[in-house]
Amino acid sequence: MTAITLADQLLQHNLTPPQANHEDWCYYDVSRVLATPLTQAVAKPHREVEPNTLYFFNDTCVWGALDPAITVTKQAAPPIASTQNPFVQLKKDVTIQLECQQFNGDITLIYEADGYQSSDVTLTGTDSTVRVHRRFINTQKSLQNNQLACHLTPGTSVTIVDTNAQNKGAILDFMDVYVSQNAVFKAINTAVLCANARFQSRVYLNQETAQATLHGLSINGCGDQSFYNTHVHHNAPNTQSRQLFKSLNKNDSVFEYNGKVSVAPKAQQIDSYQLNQNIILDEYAAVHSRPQLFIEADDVQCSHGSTTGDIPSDALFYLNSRGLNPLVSRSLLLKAFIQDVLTFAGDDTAAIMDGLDHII
Amino acid sequence: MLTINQLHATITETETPIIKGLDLTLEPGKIHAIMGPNGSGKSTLSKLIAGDEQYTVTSGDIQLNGQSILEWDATQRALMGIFLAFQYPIEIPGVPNDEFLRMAYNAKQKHQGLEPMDPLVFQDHLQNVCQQLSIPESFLERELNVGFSGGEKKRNELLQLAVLKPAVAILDETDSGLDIDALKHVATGIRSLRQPTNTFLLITHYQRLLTYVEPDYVHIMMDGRIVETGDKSLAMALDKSGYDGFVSAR
Ligand SMILES: Nc1ncnc2c1ncn2[C@@H]1O[C@H](COP(=O)(O)OP(=O)(O)O)[C@@H](O)[C@H]1O
Ligand SMILES: [Mg+2]
Repeated sequence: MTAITLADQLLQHNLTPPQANHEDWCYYDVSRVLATPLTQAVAKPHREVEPNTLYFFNDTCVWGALDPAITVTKQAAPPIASTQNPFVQLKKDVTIQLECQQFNGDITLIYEADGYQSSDVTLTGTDSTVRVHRRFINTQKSLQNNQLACHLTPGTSVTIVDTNAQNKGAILDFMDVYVSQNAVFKAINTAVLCANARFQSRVYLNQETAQATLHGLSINGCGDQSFYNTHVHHNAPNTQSRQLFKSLNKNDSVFEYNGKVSVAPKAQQIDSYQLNQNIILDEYAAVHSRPQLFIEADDVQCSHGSTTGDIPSDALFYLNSRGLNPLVSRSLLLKAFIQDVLTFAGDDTAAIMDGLDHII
Repeated sequence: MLTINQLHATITETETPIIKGLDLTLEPGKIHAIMGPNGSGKSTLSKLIAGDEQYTVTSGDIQLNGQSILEWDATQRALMGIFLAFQYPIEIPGVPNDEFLRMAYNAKQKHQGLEPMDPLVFQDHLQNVCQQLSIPESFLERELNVGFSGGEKKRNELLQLAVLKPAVAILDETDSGLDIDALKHVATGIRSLRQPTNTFLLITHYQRLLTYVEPDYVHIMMDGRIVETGDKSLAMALDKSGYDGFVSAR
């Protein structure tokens, strides 16, 4: 089997990859991903899949027993669609409709790649409170390319908990979220020691009192690259958004937070908060922090901020002066730094602590 | 016990001299007070003793029981028995106060070649110390200094001091920001922690604390040096004349 690359495929379908000078991609190493070989490993024997769990492996998807309130339908993959979200439309191996009607509970999506894995999932939540756990697993030289659309009908609550640790391949994840009246969307993503992870979220707060919270925690060591690209659209009055992204960075790693908030002219009295805080542990790590606000309404409350720096030396001195050695003190301070995001990352604390110990 | 000899020190980054030929000897079993105007270098001195790398000793020496401590980092100095109650304690979210105290206590145990204390035994011990210092036990469950009022932070410093039992205890303006009841509790705490084998250095602006904890020595610090040493009457005289009056009388 000849290894074709993503670049070959794009060419074949007459599509152009994102340009490196595009504002959303300027720090991402597009050429590295384009060169990724797309050969697929031999299909893995299907493993037993837990209830309420969808398991995506390379170009397949299987699922376990489903709660009666959940419906899953699988569609034949359509051919090439638009390039609005780069890459993903290139090869939609699996298209899934996931519907929750009056469902209160947990759903797990496991994305595993040993080669190339892509999926397109549309989740519709109606009168439901759903927690979706997404686990990303990949090997070196693999590429995961997933799209998740979430439609929240009025009053529905959806929480996405992503765990992503020690992955050596590439992840390109696209999430589009449509939130209606009184619906609440929350997401927490973790990228711990991952070679190449880009998580993009577009959130549309389309009706009054819709709410969205986006959280991210990234730990980057030797050679790791992680990118958060968010855009929250306040399209209706009295909507609320919260964004908090933190990162710890060392060695030749790259981290980017590019977060946008747009407020439409009619979206008065919205409340938006956006904060990105990063710690750089040496002089080699690169951090790009770009919170951005585009406001077209006049009666709004929007705050945004960004800080990047070392572990504060006064705090370090305080702990040392109590007899704690520098290593223990640094570890305590890093834990303290990520504490507020960590409380949301229920699934992943052990991996996060491992990652933290790794880069101290 | 702690001897400071012709100490000169600068702010590391700017090389600005702050301590300019300071001599001071802290004696075991004694309570020393340093008084001095704002900006005279009191906090700088206390952090220098504790090993803050923001400051650099350019000449002179600090010795603990005859051994120079200048080569030791802050951790080593703490393990060897030096403790600073900070003027502005740091807030550390996510670290429960009692867990922090246990870590610090066990670090010291380990340094002395002793076993870590059993967590349950330690918890009992903490509760006793809280009672001794009239500190509410609810302090123990809270995150280290997070959301503490200025006064609560100062009392939490005293709690740490009581748990770690240092040989040299330096209290940097632990009295400021305390209401009168809290001040009395702090004073009672200091008196109860006093031992023939330890020494206290109280840095204060006001004579107020010293009416509750009688110092054996009062040192006046100005422009990076100790300019006068006397007994508690010096503090009282100073309280009347003020620092300006004190300067013009000299
Ligand atoms: N890290 C620092 N950076 C700049 N100036 C400092 C620093 N530390 C101390 N100083 C200056 O040194 C002088 C002494 O400060 P400090 O020791 O805090 O005085 P005190 O505690 O007696 O009021 C002051 O002028 C202060 O502004
Ligand atoms: Mg001071």
